[in-house]
Amino acid sequence: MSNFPYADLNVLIADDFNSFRSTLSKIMYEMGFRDIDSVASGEAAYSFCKKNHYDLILCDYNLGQGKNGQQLLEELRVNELLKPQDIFILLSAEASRNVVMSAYDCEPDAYLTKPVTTKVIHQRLSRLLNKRNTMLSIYDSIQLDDTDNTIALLTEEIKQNSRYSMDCQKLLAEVYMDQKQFDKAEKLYRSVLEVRALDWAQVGLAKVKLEQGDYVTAVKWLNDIVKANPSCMKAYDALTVALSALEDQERLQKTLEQAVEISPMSIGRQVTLAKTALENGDAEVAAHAYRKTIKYGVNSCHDTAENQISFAKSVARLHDSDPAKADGFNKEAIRVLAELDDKAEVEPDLKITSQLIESQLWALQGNKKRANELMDIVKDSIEQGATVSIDIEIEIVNAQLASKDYVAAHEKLQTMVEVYKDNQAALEKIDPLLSEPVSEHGKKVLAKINKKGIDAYKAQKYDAAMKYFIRVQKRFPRYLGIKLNLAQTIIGKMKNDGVEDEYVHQCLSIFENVKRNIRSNDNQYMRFHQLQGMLSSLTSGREG
Amino acid sequence: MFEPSDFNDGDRDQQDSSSSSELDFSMVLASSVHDMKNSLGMLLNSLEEMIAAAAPSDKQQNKHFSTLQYEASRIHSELIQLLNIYRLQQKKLPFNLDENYVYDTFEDQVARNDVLFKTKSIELTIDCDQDLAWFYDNELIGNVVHNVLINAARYAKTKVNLVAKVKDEQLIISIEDDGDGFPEFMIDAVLEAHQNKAATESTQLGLFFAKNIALFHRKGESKGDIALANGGSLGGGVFAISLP
Repeated sequence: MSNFPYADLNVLIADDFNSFRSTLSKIMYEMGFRDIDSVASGEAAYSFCKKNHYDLILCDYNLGQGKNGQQLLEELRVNELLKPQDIFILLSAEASRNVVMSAYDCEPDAYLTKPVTTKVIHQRLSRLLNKRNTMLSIYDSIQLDDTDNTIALLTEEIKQNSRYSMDCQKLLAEVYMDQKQFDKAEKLYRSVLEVRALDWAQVGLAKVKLEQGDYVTAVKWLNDIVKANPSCMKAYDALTVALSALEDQERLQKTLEQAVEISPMSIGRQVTLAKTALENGDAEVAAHAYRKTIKYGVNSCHDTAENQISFAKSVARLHDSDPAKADGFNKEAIRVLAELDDKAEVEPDLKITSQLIESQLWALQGNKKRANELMDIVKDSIEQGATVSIDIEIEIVNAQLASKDYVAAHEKLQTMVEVYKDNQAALEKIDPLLSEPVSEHGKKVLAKINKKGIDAYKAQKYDAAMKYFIRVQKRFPRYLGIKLNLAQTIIGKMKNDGVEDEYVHQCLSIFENVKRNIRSNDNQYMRFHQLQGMLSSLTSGREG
Repeated sequence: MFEPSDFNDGDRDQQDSSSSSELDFSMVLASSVHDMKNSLGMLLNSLEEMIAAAAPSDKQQNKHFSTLQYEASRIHSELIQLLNIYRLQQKKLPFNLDENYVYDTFEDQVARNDVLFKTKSIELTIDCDQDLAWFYDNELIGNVVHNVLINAARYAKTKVNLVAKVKDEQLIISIEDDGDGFPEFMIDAVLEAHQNKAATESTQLGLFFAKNIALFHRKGESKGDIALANGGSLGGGVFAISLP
């Protein structure tokens, strides 16, 4: 048996080319492996891994029609089908290791670029297996959750300054972080950084600050890291956490936009971007991001109905701010929803949400008949006892608004504000539909940005003021006060810099919108009239 | 209080609409280079399998195989280089600094070019301490070594030697051959590139790339660099890259 040191290790080979599969099998056999399975697709590989445990997986990146090698790896990791000591090798002709790796969230143990020679595989495998042998007791200890022992073993390995001491330092710091021993983690990261400015240690140190609640320092450091190395995805991820904690929605969106530009295939980041953009009222960015989650999510473990519905939802919202752009997405959104409708496994409440959004999309295209049909289906489901969550209620209001059923929408909103008066999370969701936010958080955000806008206006920084007001308007599209603030700023700018047709049009369209929605008893009514007067005297002055 | 960088939304929209109407030629080129590189990769794979299945029976056949292998490898590595330069220019070249064993890096590149050097009957040796570890991007430095090896395979007579040693806190990786050496103008071009940036353009694409990769590696004030020379332990051309 000693001739076959690897005879008790199970090997799985996944490649869609028959010839490459047999070449790899032969190489494995020559190296001393005896249990070798091979499959032609990602799906087959996954089901093999569910049935058997493999110590070593050699997988091609491109596996033809179905899921690719990276998606397989992600799915295996998510479903915990890989042990820490298992070796996953990704082979590919697609691109260089760095490019592919930075594009995804999980890393294989090795990445080999095709064409690979027999010797390359031999060498790399022996190296990985040597490491596995040395580290086996550590991996076992990690798997048993025996933290004290893991720390002792790692410390010993580092003390001996072994070949894997750098890997062990990285692992040890992660264990400290998991155990919330932040001081120890910090000390370790700093000692690594004394030797060399390595990304993982820099990000680690920033994460320590993050865990300690020092978000501002964390953001500063992480920004420095991404500036020096724009492809350091882990830094973007930590930055996302820090900016969310600081509730800095604008920078959060910007950071995520940067991150997905570098790594478009990471579905997790696309979803976070889309959610953030939707919260910020930036439906266009949200629609693009959700569309990518659908595109890259095919065959992956991320292929969820929720992303599909959210895509259509973003398109419906986009109709509010930019109908022309929304039209470009309409067909696709309706198709996505129709596909969902055919799937039996979709949860009933998601199905209702999907029908409501489809109804909105038809109504916004002017097909009232189809919109009403869908509303009737929803009404039937609700009468038959389907649970109605806040999200569904909001989509009912949106559907009423899309069908221009303003009175019903208004009444429903009033009831909702009353019913959910003690539920801040629900109120925050209702805020964008109201003429003025009612949630504590919504009021706070509004006041904060609005103040910045007013300060800028007073300082006669009209361009800056306009941008602040446009930002609030995106978040609270039905808040009349902000629209008037924006109009006032534009008028101020024209008084200063001269009249421009574009600005005049912008003011007129704001007035148009306000006129439709304002009531004569509104406390903004007087101001509205004054502003209209100011604009007309400005423009008539020009003509005279 | 007033931060213009917070407000790029409008600018971005404008950029989007203007760029979508124009054809970005460098992008088209890059994506077709990517395709070509993949096709060539398949071709090289088949070639290795073919040589393994039917070993060359005479000298003439061996020469044909080695020419095929050499030319295909050369184009393949050149295309990878083109792509990397494109990414470099777009500031999209990922850079992963980590501790690596130099011997492992060498071994990887020797194995990658195993068939090429065998068919050319050139002996490829490694002169490096097995325990020598250094900080660099393994993939990028690996590619530089790979390119130099392919070049050396053309000019070496019988031997190529990969050497690594540490001198003045710099890792010096040298690739030596027993060929006729580099022409003076190339050595000068690389030397001049120290003072004059424009001079890099007159040197080969490969050297331009190697120089940029070397420059990526920094530690405090010191940066990496490349140099060409003639002589070395084998008396031919010497390519050296130094990394802080």
